[in-house]
Amino acid sequence: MQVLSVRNLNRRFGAITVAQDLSFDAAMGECLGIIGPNGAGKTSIFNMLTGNLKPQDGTITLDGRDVTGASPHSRTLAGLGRTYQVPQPFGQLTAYENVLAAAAFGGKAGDGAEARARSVLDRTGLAARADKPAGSLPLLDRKRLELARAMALQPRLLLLDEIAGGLTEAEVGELVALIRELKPDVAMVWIEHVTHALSAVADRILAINFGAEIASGLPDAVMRDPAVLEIYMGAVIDVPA
Amino acid sequence: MTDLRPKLVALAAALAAAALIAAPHVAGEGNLRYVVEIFCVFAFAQSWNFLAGYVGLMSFGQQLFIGLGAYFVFTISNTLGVNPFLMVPLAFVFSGAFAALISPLVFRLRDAYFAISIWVIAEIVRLFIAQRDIFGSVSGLPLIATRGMDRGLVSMWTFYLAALLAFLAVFGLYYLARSRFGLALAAVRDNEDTAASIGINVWWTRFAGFVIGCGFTGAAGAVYYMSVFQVQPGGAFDPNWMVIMLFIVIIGGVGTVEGPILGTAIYFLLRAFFSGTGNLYLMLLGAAAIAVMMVSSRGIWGVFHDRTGIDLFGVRRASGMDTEHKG
Ligand SMILES: Nc1ncnc2c1ncn2[C@@H]1O[C@H](COP(=O)(O)OP(=O)(O)OP(=O)(O)O)[C@@H](O)[C@H]1O
Ligand SMILES: [Mg+2]
Repeated sequence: MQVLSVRNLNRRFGAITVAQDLSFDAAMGECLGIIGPNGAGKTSIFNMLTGNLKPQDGTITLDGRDVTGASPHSRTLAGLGRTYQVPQPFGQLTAYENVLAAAAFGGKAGDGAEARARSVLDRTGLAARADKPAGSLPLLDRKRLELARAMALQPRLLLLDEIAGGLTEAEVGELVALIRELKPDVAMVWIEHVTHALSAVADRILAINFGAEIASGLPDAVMRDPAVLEIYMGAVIDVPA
Repeated sequence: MTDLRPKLVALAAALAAAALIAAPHVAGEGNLRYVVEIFCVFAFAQSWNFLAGYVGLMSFGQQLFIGLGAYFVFTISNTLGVNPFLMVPLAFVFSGAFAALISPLVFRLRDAYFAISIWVIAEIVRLFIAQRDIFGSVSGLPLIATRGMDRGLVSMWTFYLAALLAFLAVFGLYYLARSRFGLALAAVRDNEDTAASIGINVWWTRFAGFVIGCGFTGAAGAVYYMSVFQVQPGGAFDPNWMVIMLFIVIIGGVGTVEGPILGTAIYFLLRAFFSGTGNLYLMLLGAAAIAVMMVSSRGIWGVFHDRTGIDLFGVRRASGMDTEHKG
């Protein structure tokens, strides 16, 4: 079942194009990877999916509903969850309260928000820091908190923006294991520069440059695509941004 | 781990309520009047603290709502002959409704522009009232209805209303901040994009906070001017009210329940000490607030909390998880 369908998405900032006639889908249980050099437009595409940035043309469909003009919070209530590339926690609230707020307001209503928040903090390795103000957490924990907050929403569509950047090899391994656990219950779009992590999870990869698709398909095929190799120039591909 | 604090706060609330109910029967009328003034000024300050520290809205024009609440009660009570004490809840509604009405306009503005826009509206309303005979023009209105009432009863009911405001400004704020709505307010205050990304309607959350905060200021303004039996545009819409609110909240500690309690005590002590120096004491207040801000933007209570870890009305929700150490 298609959860996300994007058709002919277009957006420019003056001379910079961040989306040029882009179309892609993500089905339940599936992970679409997005790669592209710095400034290619990846985060801007997410911002259009979440409603923080208006596309100049194109449609975004979530679970069969056209949400192209919908507000960010109503898309969340319709099943969308996102992480920010640069962590954006509620700084004065504790890690637990950050996740609790997501559990209490996002997606599925009802009680059990406290229990859900605790379970998500456990799974993301934040249990020991649960009662610390989010603003005082080190960067790595703030990145974990991004994932925890999105997980607490129990989204149908999960947008991950470079959550593996800056992690050690062992931490990347743990993250990949966690994302694999989540995958069956969600449609996922994952922007990532750590391509070996992405290849381990993604079913398909979309490579973009200057907002335009340069390759798409199975991970191995996209990674070996001459147009992709040319942009990344070989070894540069695995350096986290 | 169980958090005892909510139970302790509930106990404190019960004790405070009992003391406030007993107070008019043991204290003299002169003392009561002084306490009414303290309670009202505290309620003004706490409503600004709520807006700035919990809703994340910094207004420099809250004297607008003091004046609106007062004029609402005086005008309605005088023209319709209604008991003014019954009008105080309606002063909350009226001031809140006025805040709701200007929201679509002022919420378009950010930061300093938002802050100043409300001050500008306060000046416009003051000029409007000062030119209308039904509001008594520049010389204002007396409170007619209380003239025929029993003096002791009037002072007792004025005290009870002020006590209720002070009670709500402490315990109401505590419970509001700990509620589901309080969590939404805190999220919007800290990061509005993230708040929207977890499904919170940012505009309506902020709107509800603004209406509640301004409504409360209006109710307190009504009680304050009822306690002196007259209201004038120059006094009710006086920007000096704003100076006093800022002083109390900044010096005590913004975004805490305790800070403005401390700030109000300091304000009245300083005022008693420097009485007779005219407006000099307002300048001293300003200087003291700036001095405190240089040391810590979180005020005296913030510094005290950081040093001692003491948090009487902690609104933090404990995870109950096995954490490294409590922070
Ligand atoms: N609001 C905006 N106004 C103007 N230009 C913008 C805006 N947002 C993004 N841009 C520009 O659009 C381009 C794409 O930015 P975007 O953040 O989408 O890139 P990205 O692919 O996520 O890059 P990175 O890998 O570095 O995160 C950049 O040149 C950026 O400066
Ligand atoms: Mg990006």
